[in-house]
Amino acid sequence: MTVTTTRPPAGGPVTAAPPGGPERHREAAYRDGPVAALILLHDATGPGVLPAGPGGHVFVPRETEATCDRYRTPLGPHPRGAGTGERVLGRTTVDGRELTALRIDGSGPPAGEPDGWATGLAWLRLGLAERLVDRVTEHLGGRTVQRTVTLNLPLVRALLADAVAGTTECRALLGAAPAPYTLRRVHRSLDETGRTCLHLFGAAGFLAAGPGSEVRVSELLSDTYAPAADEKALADGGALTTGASSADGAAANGLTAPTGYPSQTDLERP
Amino acid sequence: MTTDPGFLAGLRGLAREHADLLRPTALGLDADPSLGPALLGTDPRWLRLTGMPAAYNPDPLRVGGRPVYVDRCVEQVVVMEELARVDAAAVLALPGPSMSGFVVADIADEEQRDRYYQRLADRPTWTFFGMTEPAHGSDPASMGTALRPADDGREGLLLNGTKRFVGNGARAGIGVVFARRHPGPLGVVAVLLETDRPGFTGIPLETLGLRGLQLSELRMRDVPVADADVLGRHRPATRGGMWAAVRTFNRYRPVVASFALGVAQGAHDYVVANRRQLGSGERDLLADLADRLAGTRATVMAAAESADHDPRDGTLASAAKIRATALAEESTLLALRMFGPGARWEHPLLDKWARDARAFEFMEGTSNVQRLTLAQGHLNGSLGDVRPAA
Repeated sequence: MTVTTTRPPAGGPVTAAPPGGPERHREAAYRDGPVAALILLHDATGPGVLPAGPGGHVFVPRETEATCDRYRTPLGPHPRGAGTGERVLGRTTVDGRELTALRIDGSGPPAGEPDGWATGLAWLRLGLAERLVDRVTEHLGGRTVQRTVTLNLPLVRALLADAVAGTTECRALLGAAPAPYTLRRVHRSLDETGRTCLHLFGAAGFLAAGPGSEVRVSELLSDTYAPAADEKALADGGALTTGASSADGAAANGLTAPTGYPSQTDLERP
Repeated sequence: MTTDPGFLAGLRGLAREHADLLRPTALGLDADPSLGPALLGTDPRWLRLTGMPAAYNPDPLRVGGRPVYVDRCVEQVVVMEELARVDAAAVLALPGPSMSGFVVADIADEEQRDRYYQRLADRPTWTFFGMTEPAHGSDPASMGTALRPADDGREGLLLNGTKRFVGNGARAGIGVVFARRHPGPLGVVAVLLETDRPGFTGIPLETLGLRGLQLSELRMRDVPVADADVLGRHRPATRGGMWAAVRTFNRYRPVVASFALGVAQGAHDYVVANRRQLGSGERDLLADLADRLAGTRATVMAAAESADHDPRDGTLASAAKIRATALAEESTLLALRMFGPGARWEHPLLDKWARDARAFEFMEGTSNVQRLTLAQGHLNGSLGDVRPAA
């Protein structure tokens, strides 16, 4: 098998993306890494306001945190300051740059559909994952096992494929209109991709100075900002199955459909 | 090329109505696959779902007044998923073109096309796609089935060999057999063959799941073949049998993925509809499952769009099949667990779906084969990525 090191321009139907959309955060993450991409995303979607996740947590670059005088709540931005119950949970460093984690009582994402931060963050993490997959590809392409290029071992390729399947799924999901539950799946899938790549890196992925630190930051972003489970989506059985209409339907096509087991949902809390 | 979501939603709803027709037959067909023709062959409306071309389909589906021939991969994955939510085996057991239709559509000449489709239009006819062999799987380099000139003074060619795990093979009336005519990679040809020819035998195989499909073994002993039966004979060898087979696999893998996805969704729906008390842990499991269903559905749709865009490239199709196959198995097993001890006895439909789900692993290539394809496709840049923009 041959490892192709130069790639043709993206040509498939899932890759088309208008310039200036949230996809640019994917590109920024791929090109410049997590901190620069997060700063860009924050500047584009909510300058001056700390973005908070559903648990009331914030995880942003230190310089972003320093410039914000407000934080998000479900009802709109609220001034930072005394009495807001804000506390620093920790700091993380990646590529020599620092990110800060906070918890602010009462903070949280705006109600309703995902906003620019939530959508952009999913794209940003996708870019980080793609950067990671390419890094591990390069890493394994330069190593050998018993004179065979490690990347060409079928079991290694199988793991690589699982990682690529994850980014593929995310591109497909983000290509449609994102909803909270699809973004949750994007984050889960990217978490899986990160873990798979770490397995491929072996011990190299365990070093704080190595690619593992970006995976760590990406996982922390997921932990902080992934939308919570949605009972309605659960009852509907997944986003893309809903809204199917048979308005043109059965009668026009000569059908009289019998009913089988109940279609109504009856989830009840214990 | 992205299909209008409103159109696909309408098509999905329509397919759902058709799927309801399959509910009463699912367990009966599983118990006795020989009932397939009686249960599924008597209603001509099924033909509208199987990709019959316009010239042979005077009564197509209509969505918003627009005729739909279900001949594009994006249409097929939507329709097949909805049908498979009820009974994947029955859908695979429908009369109509199925996989062999891809080959006919790609490389048949006018006479061959008419011979194939007119027969399907005239009466309920099952078709087959004969590629896999008992000792060689679907590896074309090792293909043992041979098409050779008759050596006893008769005119024409003779077909000899055995194909295995061929869906609907024993009940089919016409189909496509792949055979080696010459040495080398371009020596494999596709032959259009009626099953009533002398020397042709189709024997059903007893299977553990997808029983309605009636996987079969095809035995061919000196089956007479004319030059006019060889598909693509008017085309260069580089655009012949193997070329069409590869394109068929690339287009059919998203469809197989849609079957698996439908089974997974069916199992999820069954739990939601029939479990009244769910613990918080169980709700979390179901929420994760719903998320994965949405993710896999998006992947399958992307693969279908890619197949319609360029059937030479099966990279996304492999990704979709990997995801959907795993999901079908895990979803059906999870559903069974949620009904506790004895679930397979108390919920025979779930038991059937769990058995059915295992078929998708080997259909059109195992997950490990798909992984190698996907990894190579990624390394080749087939998926496109962020790098060119970086």
